[in-house]
Amino acid sequence: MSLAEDMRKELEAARAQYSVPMAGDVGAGLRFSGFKEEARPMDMIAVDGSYSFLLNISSWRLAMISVALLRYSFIQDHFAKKDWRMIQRVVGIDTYENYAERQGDFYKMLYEFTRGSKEQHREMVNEWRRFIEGQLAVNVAEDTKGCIIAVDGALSTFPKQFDFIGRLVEVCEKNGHLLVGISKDSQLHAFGHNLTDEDLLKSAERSLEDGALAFIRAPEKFEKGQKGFLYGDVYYCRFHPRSGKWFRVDLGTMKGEPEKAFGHVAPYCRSLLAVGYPLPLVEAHRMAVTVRHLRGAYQETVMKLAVRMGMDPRQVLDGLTEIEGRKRSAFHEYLDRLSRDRR
Amino acid sequence: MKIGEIVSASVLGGLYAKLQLENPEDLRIAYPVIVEGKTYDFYCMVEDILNEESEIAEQLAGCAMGNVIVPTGETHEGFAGPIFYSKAKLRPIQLIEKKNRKLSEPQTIPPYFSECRHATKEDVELIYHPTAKSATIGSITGVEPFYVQLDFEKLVEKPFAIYGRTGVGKSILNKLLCCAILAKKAGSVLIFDMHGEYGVYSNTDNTEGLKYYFPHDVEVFSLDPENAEARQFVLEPEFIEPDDLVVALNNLSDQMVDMIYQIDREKGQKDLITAIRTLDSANLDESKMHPATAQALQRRMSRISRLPFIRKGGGKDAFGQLMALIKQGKSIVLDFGEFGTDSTVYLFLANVLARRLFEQYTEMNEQFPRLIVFLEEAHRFLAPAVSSYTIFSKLARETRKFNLILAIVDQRPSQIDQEVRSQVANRLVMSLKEPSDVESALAGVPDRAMWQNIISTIPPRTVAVIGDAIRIPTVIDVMPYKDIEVREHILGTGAWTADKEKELASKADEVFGKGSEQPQPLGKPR
Repeated sequence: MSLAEDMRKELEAARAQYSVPMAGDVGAGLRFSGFKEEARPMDMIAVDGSYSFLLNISSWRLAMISVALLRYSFIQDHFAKKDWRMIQRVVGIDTYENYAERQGDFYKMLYEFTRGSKEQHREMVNEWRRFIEGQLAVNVAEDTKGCIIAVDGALSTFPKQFDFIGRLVEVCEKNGHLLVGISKDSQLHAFGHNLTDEDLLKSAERSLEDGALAFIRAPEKFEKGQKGFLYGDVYYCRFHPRSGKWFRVDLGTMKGEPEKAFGHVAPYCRSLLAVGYPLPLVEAHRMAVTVRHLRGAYQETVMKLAVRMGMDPRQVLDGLTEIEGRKRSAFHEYLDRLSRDRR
Repeated sequence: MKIGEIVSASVLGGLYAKLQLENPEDLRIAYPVIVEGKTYDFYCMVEDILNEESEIAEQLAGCAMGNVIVPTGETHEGFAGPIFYSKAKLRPIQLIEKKNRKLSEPQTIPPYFSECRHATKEDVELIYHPTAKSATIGSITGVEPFYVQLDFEKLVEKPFAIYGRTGVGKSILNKLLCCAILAKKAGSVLIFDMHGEYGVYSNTDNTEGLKYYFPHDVEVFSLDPENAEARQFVLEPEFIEPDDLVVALNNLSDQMVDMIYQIDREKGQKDLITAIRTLDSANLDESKMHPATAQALQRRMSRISRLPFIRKGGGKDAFGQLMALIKQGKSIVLDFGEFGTDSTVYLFLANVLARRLFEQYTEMNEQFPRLIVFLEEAHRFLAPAVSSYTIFSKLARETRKFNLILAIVDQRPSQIDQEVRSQVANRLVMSLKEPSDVESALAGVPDRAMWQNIISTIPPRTVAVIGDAIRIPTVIDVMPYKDIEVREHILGTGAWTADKEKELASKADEVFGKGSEQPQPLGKPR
């Protein structure tokens, strides 16, 4: 069988599964609701985080977590930054069970929650990052009133003992905040269609009025089936008529008035930089990922400290990692470099 | 006000600042900027402003749609300033030590993230110290209103040049310089006034001339016999030499040039003009002079032969008077009157006068005060093809020691002999567009690449002053040539007020008596 025949066979299979007719009844049963931008939206406080692995010795890794918070006002087509906070923490992660047993409860819980995942070290740091994001969001929600608290991702949390999202919902309700969790990318099939939710809604949006802002609630059984503890009502939203994407939005407060809630968020989604996605979250992301851009500087500090502490410089050098935690000296890193350089 | 932070730096290559301005148009090339280092304040000049290439910008450009906000410095405040930011390339000019405000050359760089801000008047005052002979010609661009001081004593010590294309304000700059030279008593000036701009009032815009401001220090000569306000200029033909004709009668053939010298050798008691005019072309020794060439030369000469101011004056040659006045420290304005548009007359007269001045100054140097000869359209005298026939290249090279200083004024510096250009100690360069002119105007200047950018982009009425007459090379917005400005900033007599006018009028009354009951406003005579 030739390569072309192989390709045709695979494409046939994909067409049967996913292909969307130009006109037809894709998503015919979906019921969209419209909403309008609020003329005076609340300030938006956006929180996002990132991490970077710095060093890998055997199964132990050193990571830097960075969480950024930005407060914006939307005034007369102007995104005005009003306040910011940045938290950076250095954490040690080991996926060897014996190491976890000697750590505190929080670490053990992280270890258990992520056990069995393919790249557990990344999963653990990711959850740790989410925990810090939640803590920061709670603290700021305590200090402020009547804002949109926008966090990155679903409003779900891992074990109850570290239920920061539950606490965040409580504080937001108390202080009159609108709490939303907006997922950058969602590959779920909540609507039970072959297409992912985002693709399904994109295909079905033809039925919407041109220029309409719209949302749709995810089926109830999907919400119930979510891993961990889900605090929000799950919606998919088109925050701008020209948005290329429907974003999953978990609504944590103002649950009875989604039109109003999304109307407050929509003005922040009008930047050409990311049409349909809130600019404050874009900026919080950009601010958080500086931890990756500055990895070289952090690694230099690690080197200096380790050598001063009497560690073997060769071992430290050998353990310097790429962003996702692979060792720079790993053989496949060398092969990747060779392939890039000699193509 | 903070305008940005340093993100890269090199002693040789300059500094790059990430700008935090909402609009990069708030900054311009040549603006002075202070970069606050740890030990030093770096006094810099903006060399370039740039929006670097951006993949995202390219992707977004042209995608603007309804109800979308385009990211600009005014609409989007990013976590670290504008999301799409501009950069400025800065060239350190001086270091100011923070501790003692001592100045030094820029031999180091500021740390990363050093803050940049617009220079203030106080910063600039540290750089430019006024001296007894300093005056201003305008304010520093970007820090208005700070009037920069030029040391006019230093300026007129050596030849200097004013370059700039037509229409950018060379004449105004010239007038301001002349006023300042006279006001500071740095020397006297000799002006070939083609358009009647330097006498009492300007013929072109009615502004005040040199004679107006310095009635006792300036004498006006005129080629126009009708001009009763000026002394008559008469040129005795015997003082005319072959070189004067070669320069004035542009593009003579080699045969004609040879013939002029031949006639000059054989003219006997006649003057050269008469000798050429009366040449009998029918009876020439053809081995020496060709009749056709002689006729052609006579035709070309007829214009000069008819000039009314070249005549036997019975000892009234104006040059003698002119030299006597210069000896007394007077400045001379030679008004061309109706000949103002005749470039042959200008080339001819300027050359004759300069040659005779040169002879006098070199022979009797100690008797003469410093005289600055302003030579407009200088390339016509100093182009490599003609410079050997004129005295001006010698004037540029040698006369510094004789107190006779050449001020070159030109719009085509590339056409001036390189050797002459290299003698220039101070340059006042206005906008030039022709790359060869920009390059020639700045030959030998340190950081030439930066200055080339500046000169190619500066607006009219702006001048880059480079040389030892100013503490550091500086771009200056030339002040308007207005009575009030000249009085306030150059003459130092303050503005011309109604009270002062009254006071002067009362003195006039004392001398002339009251002509009428109603006081007449000070009229402009032309």
